[in-house]
Amino acid sequence: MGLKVELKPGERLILGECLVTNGTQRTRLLIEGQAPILREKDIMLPAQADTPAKRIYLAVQLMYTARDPRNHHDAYFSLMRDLVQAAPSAWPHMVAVGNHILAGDMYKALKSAKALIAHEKELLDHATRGANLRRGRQQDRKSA
Amino acid sequence: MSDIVLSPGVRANLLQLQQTSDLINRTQNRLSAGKRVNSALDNPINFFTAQGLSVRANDLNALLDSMSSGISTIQAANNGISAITKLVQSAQALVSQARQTADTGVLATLSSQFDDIRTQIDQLSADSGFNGINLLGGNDLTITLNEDASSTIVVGSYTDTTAGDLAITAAANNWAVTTDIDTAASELSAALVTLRSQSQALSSNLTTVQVRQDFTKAMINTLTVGADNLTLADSNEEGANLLALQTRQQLSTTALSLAAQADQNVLRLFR
Repeated sequence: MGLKVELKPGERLILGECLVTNGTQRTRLLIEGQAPILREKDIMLPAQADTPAKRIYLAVQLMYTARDPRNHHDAYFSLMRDLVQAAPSAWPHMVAVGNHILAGDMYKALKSAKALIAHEKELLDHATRGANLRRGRQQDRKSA
Repeated sequence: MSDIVLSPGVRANLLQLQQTSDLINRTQNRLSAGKRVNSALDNPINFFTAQGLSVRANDLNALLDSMSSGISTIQAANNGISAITKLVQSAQALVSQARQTADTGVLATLSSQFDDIRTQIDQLSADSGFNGINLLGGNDLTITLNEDASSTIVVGSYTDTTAGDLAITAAANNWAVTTDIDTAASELSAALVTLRSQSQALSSNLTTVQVRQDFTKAMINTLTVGADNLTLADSNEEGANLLALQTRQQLSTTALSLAAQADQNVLRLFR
């Protein structure tokens, strides 16, 4: 059973080592076989990867699309070590990513990496909110 | 009666006060116990994850054991194959010597040497096992690659005996007839082809398992760091850590090398 993909006009897709760009109409594709497939919305470009978890996603994505994923293992583990030390609560997500990679299921690994990004966002939002609260408090004091 | 209106700042202050008193209680508790999360009530998720961690690390370690014994088994088989290949090559040398002589006495000696080599091949093939699994003697090897055993690799078995996959028959008629020598020659070159393809298959299996083994090792190392810190999890602290890490990584070589790697990847087309 292949993978069904529906593309909007102009939407792009990575298929193996090629970039597929849809024409002006909606297209339905049925893809069979083992090549890596990445939809435009799932693609993370280096410029977009500006947080620790997003960089992990990028590393997993590179492993997925590379001929030899081993080249990216070092970067992956150094990023993982950074993150697990900074935010131990992300641990379960990181285990999920690792287990999927181990099982060779890179698409699921990417999905788990997405969950990791969501978790990180929560923590980061929390931190920025905390900073705003503190700022708000000082303003409050000034106005009083 | 009018309600009391709290400005956002005041509300935040109140919240902070509540949290502080909470924190004092927790700190006292921790000071007495020496650990930040010391009961399931304190932070249930982290507590149970931390508890489960040692179990998981053990699972992964068991996996590593199975992988390394698998690697040894494949290596033993591969060594066997290269030794057998050398024997087949020396049998080929005998055949080419036999082609250059018509002396039946010499031919008889050569053919008996040929039969000796056949016996040695069978012995080598029988001795190419590790831990009771001999991939050249018809045993399969299954290596588990992840914890729930949903990913395994099965290394196929071969029967590298002269009567089995190699199909090298004994020297007929003391090689007095040329066609018998020709038969031996063609059987030997077919056997070499078989050995080569088996060796390639084994090497590729070996690489797969070794890559997984390295990955699992690195994963265990990373996870152990996580396990040590997990009981310290605190979302305020983590958020601040993440912000710091985000800045630090921007200047790191890892970020740079990721970008460089993406440039060599299909991602470069995606601009």
